[in-house]
Amino acid sequence: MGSKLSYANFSVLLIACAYLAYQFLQDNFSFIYVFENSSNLLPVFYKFSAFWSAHEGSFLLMILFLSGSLAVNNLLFWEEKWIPISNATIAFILFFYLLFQIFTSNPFLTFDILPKNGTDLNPLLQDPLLAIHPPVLFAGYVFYAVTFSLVIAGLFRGFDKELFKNLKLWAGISWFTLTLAILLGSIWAYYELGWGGYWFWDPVENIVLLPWLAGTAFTHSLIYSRNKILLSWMVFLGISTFLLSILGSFIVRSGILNSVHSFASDPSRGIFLLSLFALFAFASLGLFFSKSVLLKSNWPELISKQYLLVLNNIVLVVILLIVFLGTLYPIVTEVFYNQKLSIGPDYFSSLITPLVFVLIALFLAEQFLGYLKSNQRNTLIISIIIASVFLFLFISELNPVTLGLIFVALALIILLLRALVEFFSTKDIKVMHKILGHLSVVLLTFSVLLNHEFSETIDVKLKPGDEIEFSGATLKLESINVEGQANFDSVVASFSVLESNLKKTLVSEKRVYKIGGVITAETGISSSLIKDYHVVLGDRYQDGSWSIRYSINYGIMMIWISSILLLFAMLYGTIRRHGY
Amino acid sequence: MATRIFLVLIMAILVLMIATFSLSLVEKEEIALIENQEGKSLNIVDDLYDIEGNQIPLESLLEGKVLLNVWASWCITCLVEHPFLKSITQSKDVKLIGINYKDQSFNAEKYLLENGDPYIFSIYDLSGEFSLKLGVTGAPETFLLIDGVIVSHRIGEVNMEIWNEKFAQYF
Repeated sequence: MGSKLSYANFSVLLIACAYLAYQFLQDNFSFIYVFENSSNLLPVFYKFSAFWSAHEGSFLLMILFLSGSLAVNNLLFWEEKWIPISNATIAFILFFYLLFQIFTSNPFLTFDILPKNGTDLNPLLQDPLLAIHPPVLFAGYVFYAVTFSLVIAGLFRGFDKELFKNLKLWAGISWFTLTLAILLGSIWAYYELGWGGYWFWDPVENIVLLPWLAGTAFTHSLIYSRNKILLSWMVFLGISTFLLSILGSFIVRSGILNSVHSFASDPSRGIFLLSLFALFAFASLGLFFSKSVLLKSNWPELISKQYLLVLNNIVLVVILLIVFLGTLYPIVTEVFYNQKLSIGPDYFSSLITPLVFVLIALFLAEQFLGYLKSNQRNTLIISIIIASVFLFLFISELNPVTLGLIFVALALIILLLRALVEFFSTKDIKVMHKILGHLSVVLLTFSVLLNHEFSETIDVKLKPGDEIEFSGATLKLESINVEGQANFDSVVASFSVLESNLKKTLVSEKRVYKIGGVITAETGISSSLIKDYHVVLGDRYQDGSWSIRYSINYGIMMIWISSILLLFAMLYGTIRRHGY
Repeated sequence: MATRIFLVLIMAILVLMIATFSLSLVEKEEIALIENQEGKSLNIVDDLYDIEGNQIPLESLLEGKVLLNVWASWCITCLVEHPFLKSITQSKDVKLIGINYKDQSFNAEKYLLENGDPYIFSIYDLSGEFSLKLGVTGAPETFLLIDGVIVSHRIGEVNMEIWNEKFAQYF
């Protein structure tokens, strides 16, 4: 019965979504939501993706996903003893989400009149990457609601082997999905926004990072919690991850933070989501503490894998708190001191970078755990040597970023060598996903540091035919043309970059959208493994010259590659661990 | 014992957080007021053109009572207030001048052809620059100018009720 109802729920929601999508494809602008987010000039693909381009549709999609995962759970795990509680939890969440949808953000409201045309999809969102970014993000959020329901089930029925298996599966899937969503958003920011960066510590980005950090700690804490070690900690993280994802929806949708991702804000939505957050927070944490007697955990012994895992979790949670405070502090100042404040990237990078180094040091320590354990006196000596080397380097007044780069590069080489040695001596690598995952995190850190340290930007004024020499390469503005498309007109500027006889062409555009007259810039980028040339076309001056922002960004391609490797490791780890 | 301390701590943090967020929601409505432009005078630097491309004599804006209405063919609220604007120009002696805001001229012309044109003429403001200087935040907005000074400014739709409240006293 329960399983049938879950299928029915999913089918009905699917029909509702299909109905709304059909209105988009048919240009039925009498639907307010369609009118506000589409137009008849829009290519069909974007008419479809406009479905989730604004609050109402994206929330509906999120509910569809939640209902879908409920149905999948019932289909695959109907026999499990945790399913009733898990179903009840998800149904509870679904119920409140649907109430929220119907009373504050109904996408099916209509006008009395039929407008001729819609007000168009936000041009910034007319990009293939951003068309798929939101669904992936919601899927990530929603899957964490499933892990939450499993954790709650475990609190009532006890954590057995089967439950752990499913928890790991769902935690792996959620983690992978959320990471993919963040990566897609990052790539979009770099290629579409034209600010030359991939991460801005913008509140909305941070809000997504919060459940991701909690989820990372959660997934790691799952590894050993089968032995009841740190079980309650794992449960706490599972609950927090879900709560942080609701908190994220609240902050983004209520518009209490200023951000580039401004959604239309409506106080009633904020009130509803905040109440929802409060309800789930008090209920789940109350349950957690009332049952915590059952979850007695032992503290792991010093210098063991479990111990390192605890350290890893502590570091991740500290990073989480830093991001949390930095993101939400502006709300506090606004409420209590009536001051608008925004916290810049410096706060985050200067506090988080050392912690990332600590994480990398933990990866390294894990490699030599056997050795450290067998010979404790040597351990002491080694740590003293390492500490004094670092102290020396610190005193030697080397640039801290260079120091960091050296450290990360060393870590990368050591990890890689260890993996290779293991592979050639045993013809196999144990827990490959872990090695690959940790390697890609180190590589990612290296690329980010590289990017931070060496990237350069200038603003120049060029006429067609002009050249400029910057950082060892020559940029030339070849030509400027005006082109027309179905839904926008654009000024297309062709550039060439000449460096040591290697010529590359870049095309940057400035688009004027026909509806609403919004102007967007399309960046011209030429990438290689080490560095990117990045050109953004600015305004035209009276004398026919154009303002141009020209940057050379290092390590961008490496950032993408290491993130993709990380994703691959997550996916492989999830599948392998589940034994398929 | 440790559990209980943790419980109290977590719950206290939660309560504080939720309280702060609730306050921020309340406060929000007071801060979110958009600045009203009443009392400022019109200062035009650039040449102005209408939708057909004819230059607009500046005196037409600066002399006497002028009702300036910001509109666009893509603006649904403009379409809603359009019949009211027509009726007000027919029933009262109102000099109504449009500002066609961030719109394509052919769309604007089509809009006026289909819905009727109550404007004496419309200033063509594709870039939105003129409107920006005027203090426009979006469409529709309506300004009443008396000898180049903004005496009344409505952000949003104008209907009979708003008219009586903000504009009727001057006519």
